[in-house]
Amino acid sequence: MVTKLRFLGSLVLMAILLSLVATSVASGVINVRNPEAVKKGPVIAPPPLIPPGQMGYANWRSDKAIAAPDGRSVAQLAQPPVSITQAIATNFPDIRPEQDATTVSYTILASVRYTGNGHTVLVTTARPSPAAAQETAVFGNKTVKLVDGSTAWVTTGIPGDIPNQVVLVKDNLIITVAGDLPLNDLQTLAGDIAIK
Amino acid sequence: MSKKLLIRVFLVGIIASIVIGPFTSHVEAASWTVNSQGDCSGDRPKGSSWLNWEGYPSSSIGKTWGSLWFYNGSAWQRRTSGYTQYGPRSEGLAIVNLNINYQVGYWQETGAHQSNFFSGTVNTYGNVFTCPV
Repeated sequence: MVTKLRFLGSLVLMAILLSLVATSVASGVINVRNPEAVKKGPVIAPPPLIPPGQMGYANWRSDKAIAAPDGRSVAQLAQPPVSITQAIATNFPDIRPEQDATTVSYTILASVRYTGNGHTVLVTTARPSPAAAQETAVFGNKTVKLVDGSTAWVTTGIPGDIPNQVVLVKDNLIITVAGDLPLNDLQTLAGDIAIK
Repeated sequence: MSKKLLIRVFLVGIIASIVIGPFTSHVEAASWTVNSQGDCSGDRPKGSSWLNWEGYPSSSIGKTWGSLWFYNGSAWQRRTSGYTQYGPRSEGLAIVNLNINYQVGYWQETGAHQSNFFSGTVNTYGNVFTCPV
């Protein structure tokens, strides 16, 4: 009797472990690591996850809450400072289906562009493909803590008009706050992100 | 040569090495750089990522992972990638060169670098470029 109970117990334990593994794979948890912690082994540096160029943006009335027409997730500044809200524009790219399951890619779901006082700030929402989510990715050159306590990765000196960026992972999405503002200002903004 | 002379030469040598030593190590200061860049030449997207170093111990190793990305209108897709390791050498270049058949649109090269003379992983980003130009 005792042996049977032990056997049943181990079966139940195994089933729980298998379901946990299946859940983590199915939810597509992003395998992101701090740059300081990855000392050995294969790693990828994803590109800045912003739409290249300034194409595809449409003006958005600043008194209207930002939302995608098809209901996709849109990261945005919860309380954007007046200094960068002289104009707001949104970009919701036409999402194309993945070519195959093994492609490493990052789909841009949305990009919100805030401009003011000669500065530009982009807040973009990206989703990794299953293959990209599995690879060990490093999203910046330094790990920081934001004002809301979340972890983020920062990079400066990126070639082009948008040299600084702060990347964080929220709700299994990759949020990029990029712009030509000083890094400290971008970090402050990144601590005030809402996903709608 | 007398024993006294030998001792004098030995002492002068020690003193000279103490005085000159710091200048010598200054001249041979260790340094490393990382970078990524890409362009479209011959109607082919090309990218390079590298880690360059000098003045480190002869056991030094450098590693670079390079990736060439294409923007398809809604996603950054990795189209090709490569890895190289160089060393152990006191100076070296761990470089990944990539190229692929072109597709009209935006491209970008990125690199990730590791070594045993700095800690962690360092990313590099090339400029976004179009192909064909």
